[in-house]
Amino acid sequence: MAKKILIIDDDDDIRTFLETLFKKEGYETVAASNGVAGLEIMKRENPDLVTLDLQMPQNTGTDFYRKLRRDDKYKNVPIIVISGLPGRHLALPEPFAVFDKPIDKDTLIEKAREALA
Amino acid sequence: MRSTSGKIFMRGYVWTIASLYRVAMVAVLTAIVLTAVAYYTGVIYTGLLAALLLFGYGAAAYQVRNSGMALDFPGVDRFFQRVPCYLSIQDRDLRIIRVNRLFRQDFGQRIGEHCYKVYKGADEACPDCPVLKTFEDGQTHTTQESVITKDGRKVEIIVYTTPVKDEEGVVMGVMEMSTNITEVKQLQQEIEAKRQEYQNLFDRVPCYLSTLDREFRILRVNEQFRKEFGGKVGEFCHKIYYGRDTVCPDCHVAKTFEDGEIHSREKTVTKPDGSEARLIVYASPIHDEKGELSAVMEMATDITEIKALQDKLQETQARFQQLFEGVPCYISIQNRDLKIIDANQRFKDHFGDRPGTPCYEVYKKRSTACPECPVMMTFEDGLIHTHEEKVINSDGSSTDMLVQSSPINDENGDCTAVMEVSTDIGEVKHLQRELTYMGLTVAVMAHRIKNILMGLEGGIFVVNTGFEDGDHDTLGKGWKMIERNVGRVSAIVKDLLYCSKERQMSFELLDPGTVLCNVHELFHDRAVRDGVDLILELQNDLPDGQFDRDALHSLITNLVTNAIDACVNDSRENRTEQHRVIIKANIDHRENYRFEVSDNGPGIPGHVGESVFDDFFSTKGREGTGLGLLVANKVAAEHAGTITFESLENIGTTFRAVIPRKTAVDTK
Repeated sequence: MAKKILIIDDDDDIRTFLETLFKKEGYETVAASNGVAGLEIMKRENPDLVTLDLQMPQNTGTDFYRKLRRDDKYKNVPIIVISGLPGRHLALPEPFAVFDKPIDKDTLIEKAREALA
Repeated sequence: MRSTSGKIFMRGYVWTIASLYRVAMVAVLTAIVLTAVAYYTGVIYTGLLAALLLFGYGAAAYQVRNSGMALDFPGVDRFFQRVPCYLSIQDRDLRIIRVNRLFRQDFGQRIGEHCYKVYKGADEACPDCPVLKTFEDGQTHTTQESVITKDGRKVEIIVYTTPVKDEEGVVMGVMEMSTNITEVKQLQQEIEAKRQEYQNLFDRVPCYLSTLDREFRILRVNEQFRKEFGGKVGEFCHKIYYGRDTVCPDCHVAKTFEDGEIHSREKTVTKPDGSEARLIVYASPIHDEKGELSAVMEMATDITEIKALQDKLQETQARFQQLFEGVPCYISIQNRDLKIIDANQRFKDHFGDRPGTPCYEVYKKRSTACPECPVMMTFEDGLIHTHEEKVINSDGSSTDMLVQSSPINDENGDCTAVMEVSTDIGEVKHLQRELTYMGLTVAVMAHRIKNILMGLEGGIFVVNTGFEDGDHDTLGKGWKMIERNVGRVSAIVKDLLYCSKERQMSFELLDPGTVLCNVHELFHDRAVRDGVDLILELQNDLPDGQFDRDALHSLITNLVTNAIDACVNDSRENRTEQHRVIIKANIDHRENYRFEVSDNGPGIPGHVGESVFDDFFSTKGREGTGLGLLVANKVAAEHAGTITFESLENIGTTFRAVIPRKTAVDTK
């Protein structure tokens, strides 16, 4: 059964890009445009990996990260941070990987495989 | 007179015309002389002279009696006894043969004893004994002696001796009249001491004292004068002070001689060493014993140093005043009630001349003291405090000020007032804000460009995937992504150009309502799609004004975009209200155009001052370029207006552009 990746980004185009990229690699994807919606999908879909944009309205990217890390059920789900503002991730404990936009898609795929291995 | 002569006095007495005549003459003479002496010499010596004359009278009477007519002459004896002097009669051996009552009282009866024994307890006659001299030459003699009374008091006496002759003119005895002048002597000594004291005072008083006659010649000077100007008695004062040969014009000494009043003036004189001295001089009249103005005393105090200090103080005060008035700050001085007690001209010009008004009323149109008042803090701790404040100008506008409060202490070091120095930092704050905007803009731009780049790369990837898979839907999706992101680049470049270049404004007389209607139409569909009610509220008779149509359109568009984005990005779970954005335009009470765009989005939590812009810029709009507020701000500034905002958490945000109607009309 294909691994499932949750893509959280408020930019429609980036979501489309990442969904296309991961699907091409054989992964299943689900997407949310903010952290609040992301948490709901998380509970519903139980994804194996999350790519998270931090810079979203109302700081919900950061909220999402903290809430996930405090939840025993999901705290071990790997998160790959994809941020447009360098340094934002420094406030977060132990993301699996951090990517600065624009991303190198091959490296992202590589890290995703590593996370899902 | 021998010891037997006592018997002479015991004989009977027969009045003769001649003796009565002599006694009467002596009495008349006494009266005349007493009156004259009393008139001319004053009181002190009157008693003495009266006694002398009485003594003469007594001596004459005694001679009358002595001439064989005096034995029973009770009047003469009574007189002899009552004379207020020590009276005694000595024989040639200097033995006392008769004394009066006062003598008896102070020296005892002592008849038959030597006068030197009685007076001085001596065993031999005094040198220069006046009694012996009178015996020798038959004349009156006078001397001063110190004698000892029977109770041991030392008494100063003045002694007169006069011969007592018989009818043939032979000196039979000597009458000695001694007047107690102890008190007179004491008075003389006291007077002398006083005189000396005044002399010392005159000499040592630390100012230049001189007395001048009517010709302005120096009569007398004190030590201080002598030391500085020499002891030039007899010289003209104008010569000494100024080297002049004529009287000074407007001479204050002359005035005192004229009216007898005290006159004063300041003058600069030249000392003998060539140095100049600044003197304050008083001329006061000196009257003689007849009350006539005989001289003028001039008292001069050297105020050279005081004057120099005074000049320096005045100079310092003038400089301080110049500084106070010229400094490019608003300076006010407040008392403990925070009332303004002084202010510089710049303050008065800007805020009005309102002494006694509390500073909070003048600076901020408040009715109570400001929270965290720096002036009160300075009153409490005596230290300098600095605050940034927004003050309200007389036209209702506000200015950013940097306010420094510093204590004004009295000589005891107690803070009695506080000086508030306010510097207009409006321009600095404006630049600071611009810089903040710029910094934030660059950060947001970088973020956006990264997103665009990623969107473009993603678009290319999706297009390629579509090609590879022969999937037209994917291909179309990718192409749309590319188009959208190229459009974003284009919008950013346009906004950047708008912000960075001095755009040539194109003002025209237009109804700003039409521009707002256009924007409303443009965004209506998008708002409906996003679940937002877009409402337009225009004042009915909104007057035409001078606007750059495109710029105004851009301003409103940016505010509406932000407002819709705020609603779309509202992630509040407990929200019950339908999202709405209201576009308003009206004329306010100051005749300004007021354009408002309000949303009922989440508001900006806990915003203070400029921090809102941080939040504002951090919120990525879907359509905005991140330069919206800068563009709106620039357009408002180009129309001589401002943009302000209010935001309440969970209530919403209102951005307000205020553009002066007058400026808008006048701007061509």
